Amino acid sequence: MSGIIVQLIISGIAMGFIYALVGIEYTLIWNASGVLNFSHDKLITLGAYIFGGTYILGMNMGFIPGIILSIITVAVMGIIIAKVIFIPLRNLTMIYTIMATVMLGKIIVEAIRLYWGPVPFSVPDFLVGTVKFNNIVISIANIAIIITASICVCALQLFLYKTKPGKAMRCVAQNRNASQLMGIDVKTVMVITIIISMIICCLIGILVSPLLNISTTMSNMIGLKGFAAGVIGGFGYLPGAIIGGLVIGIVENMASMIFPSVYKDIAAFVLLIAFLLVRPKGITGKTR
Amino acid sequence: MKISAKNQYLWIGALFIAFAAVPVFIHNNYYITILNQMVINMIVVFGLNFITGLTGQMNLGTAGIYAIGAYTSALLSRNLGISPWLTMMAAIFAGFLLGRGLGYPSLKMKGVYLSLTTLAFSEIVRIFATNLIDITGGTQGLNNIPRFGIGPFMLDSNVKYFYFILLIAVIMCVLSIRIVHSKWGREFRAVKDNPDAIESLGLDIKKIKIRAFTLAAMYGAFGGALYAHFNGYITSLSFTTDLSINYVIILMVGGIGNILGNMIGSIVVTLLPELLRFLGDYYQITYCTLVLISALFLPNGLVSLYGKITGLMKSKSTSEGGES
Amino acid sequence: MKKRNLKSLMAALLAISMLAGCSGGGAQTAASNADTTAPADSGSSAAANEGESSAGDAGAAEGDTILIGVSASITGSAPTNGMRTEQGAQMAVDEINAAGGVLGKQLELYVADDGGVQDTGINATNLIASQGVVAQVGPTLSGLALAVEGIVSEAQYPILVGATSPKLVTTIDNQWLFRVRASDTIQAQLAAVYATENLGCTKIGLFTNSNDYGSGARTVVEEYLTEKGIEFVSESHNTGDTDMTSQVLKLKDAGVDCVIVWTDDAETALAARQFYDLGLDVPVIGSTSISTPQVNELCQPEWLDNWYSCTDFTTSNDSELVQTFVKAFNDKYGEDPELYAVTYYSAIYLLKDAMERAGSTDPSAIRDALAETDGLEVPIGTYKANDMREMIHGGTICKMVDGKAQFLEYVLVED
Repeated sequence: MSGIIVQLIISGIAMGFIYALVGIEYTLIWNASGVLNFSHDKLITLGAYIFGGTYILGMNMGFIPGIILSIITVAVMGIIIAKVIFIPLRNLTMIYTIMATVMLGKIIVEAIRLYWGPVPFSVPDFLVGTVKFNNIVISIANIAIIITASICVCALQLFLYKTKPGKAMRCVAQNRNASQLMGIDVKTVMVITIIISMIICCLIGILVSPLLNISTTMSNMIGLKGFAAGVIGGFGYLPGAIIGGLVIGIVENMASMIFPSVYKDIAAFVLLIAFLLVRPKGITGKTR
Repeated sequence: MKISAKNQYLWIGALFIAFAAVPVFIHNNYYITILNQMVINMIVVFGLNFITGLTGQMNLGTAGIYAIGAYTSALLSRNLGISPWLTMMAAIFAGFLLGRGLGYPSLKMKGVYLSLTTLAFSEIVRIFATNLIDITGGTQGLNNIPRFGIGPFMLDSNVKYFYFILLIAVIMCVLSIRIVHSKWGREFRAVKDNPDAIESLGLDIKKIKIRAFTLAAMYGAFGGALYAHFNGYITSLSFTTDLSINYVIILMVGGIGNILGNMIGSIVVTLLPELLRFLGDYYQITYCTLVLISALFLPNGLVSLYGKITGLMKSKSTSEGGES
Repeated sequence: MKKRNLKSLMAALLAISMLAGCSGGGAQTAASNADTTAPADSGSSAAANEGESSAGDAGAAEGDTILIGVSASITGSAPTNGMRTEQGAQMAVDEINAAGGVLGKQLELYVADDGGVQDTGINATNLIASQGVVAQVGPTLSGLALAVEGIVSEAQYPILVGATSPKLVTTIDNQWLFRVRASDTIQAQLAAVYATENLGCTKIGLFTNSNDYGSGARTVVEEYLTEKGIEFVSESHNTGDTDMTSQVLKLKDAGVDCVIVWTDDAETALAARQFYDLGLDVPVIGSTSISTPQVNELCQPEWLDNWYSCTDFTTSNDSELVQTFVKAFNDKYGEDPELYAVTYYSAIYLLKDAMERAGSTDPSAIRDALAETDGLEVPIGTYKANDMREMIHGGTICKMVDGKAQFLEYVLVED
């Protein structure tokens, strides 16, 4: 029995890092533009399709060039999406921004269906297999995600605190109008942020593709739980998202020991509501 | 941009009369069903208008509220044989409780919290509805939900049911107009436009928001109940986040905070995907693009076009700039 | 300034769409007539008969073509099913038309997207009903089939659904509704019998989706096992779940010696990987999903070493009928057919057969002929209507070899 609990905690942590990356990716855009990006799960899906559908299966590339080219592709798309959608949205009230990003997500899904077709697929031999310690199993894809998430957070923290564009991003997150008055080019900062966020989305998409397979609905649930991870960790605070993600990952797996497994998704959402009720600033108590 | 109140009522009245006239000319069940869906959507959106339209709080949990209303009324009338008239009241009461219960945690703070909590709530409802198979039927759904009658008149055809819910929509619409122009309505709007003033008057913003949310939940639950009895069948597959989003789209496309806009939004958003079906494979993507464009370029919704058009015709608009 | 121009352009665009919405009767009937001419990419030459087919309710039956409705989930969460449905039905229609049609008339499909959700599905069937079709195939989702059955019984034409929920026969008695796939009752029972009798398992794990498909089968298997006094452990998951660790571990911890997995395509592939990764190495009997090519491609062959499948159809069935169909499908679409393609391909042939036996395209004559179907050989099996208007009464057992389904036997189940 204790073996199960250890395995569940490990699996929970592995899933938690995925939620954490999702939490980080949408938090960045929220900070820079005040837009709650509801298309983020579809951007994750899009990243997976570009990598798997076009570069690997379409052009038979190696995995590393495929990843690099995918990142470049989404970065270019990021510029377009930023200019067409997010920058016009930044001064509108929340209802329009949420609706516009939801519609963007739906358009992406339909475009994927029309361009790559509706049949799900997977990338053969990409990050398959597991590592075993005694009886504890963890898949290689999960290890890759944990490493990527850690690198992402460290790199982002360094970027935000040590570099000039990073500092500008933080200023914009604090107060957009004041930053503009101080001479910061808010639009450029937004474009940079959205590019970074898109790249993270793409990485998530690539890394979860061995776990979830590539389909139009692959990221629906991790998208929602990523929102919860962000709130539980302290809305808008990056390291908090990791803690939030881990809490959700572990709690939902533990909950499945007590309740029927079908209700484990509820754990994340109940946790979200409970946190708003008791500790709205999240576990870390920091926001932005 | 602003349509005068009197003109607006004229338009609302005209729209309702136009609605009532449609079944006289069209007997096709396809269109009658869409009409029913439109009017039910309208009732739900009249409610959503209070919280998302007037007070500006984003509610993404309408599907959950709608589901609770639908299941409450369906289960009570189907399993216990209670008259649907009473079970619909029960559904509204369930909406009331829900508004109170969910409003408290999510509305004590500003920002996006309501959208996230309501989204989470709606998912919780859907997961329970899917898995409590013995009660809700899960994704296999509940069928044989009874239609009902007014005295000796059974609402057994879609046309009859349409006139019944149209009557309800008129009542709900009048109710909405009364609320919007009452002290409550002014307070709702003040939450969005001028929260500081409310606090300086010693009013509690939180209470006002919860009141608006409760109204939205009651309308939503009522809409759900009407939907359950209209279709005679409900399944947990219907109550997805997409449904919640659809209601916000209706609100947005028509014109936020405007009752005439709610009506126009319901008509357009319900009918548009159907009209676009001739595009075959591309109809969904076209529909989504049109909505995206309207979010970006027409933030005051389709009703604001009225002002623009009449403004052009008069070549000089009388009022300018204000949000409707 | 530029932005303002753009704004008014967009405003005008939306105004047009709104006007189209508001203008009531005239525009709508015009639209519905236009619709008749636009069934998605039908290969048949329809130019000659547009006039007749929009002439009214009975028009289609009296014209040169016979219109058949198709309700398929083209958009939404299961787009693969919709595409295959359309492909299968279209291929049958093309073949039949090339061979001279039915009763001297050409067949024509009217395809409507049901989006996999209730409202869109109801609208799709209403739309199909308003086109004057003689019959309809689809929807496949049981929830949608239950939602639309009332519409067709009012419109009075037969509907052939690939939905499998037992609720379609236990809670309603619709004279117009026919089922062209084996009920979950049959398939699930087959799985339970195979696990206990052929594999000799004594403690069975059940891993099912909580949707209509999985939960329907769960009820059947649990009842069967309880009746036989065989121990079992039941675990479920939701559609869209990605991490099944806890369910797998619970099954493993309970020491089951066989698992029956009943879920949809995406979840089947995920379950196969997680069973393998977490070392649950007992025989697994899967639903029809695991034998479909699209799921096989999501799995590494070694994951499926110990898997069996209870299915309606496998391309490895070496009967001549199946092999001809597989080859024709491959020639046309460049891919192997799967369940939905074969289901609706066969359904169209069933309609053809019924129309020919009835000697008429009158919907109620077709219905009566359908109800008398006895022994029509089609790729999906042998159609024989029973009192509940179910057409298929058996299933195929496959073993997974090198990640592909290998035909073992076809089993008939007595009701």
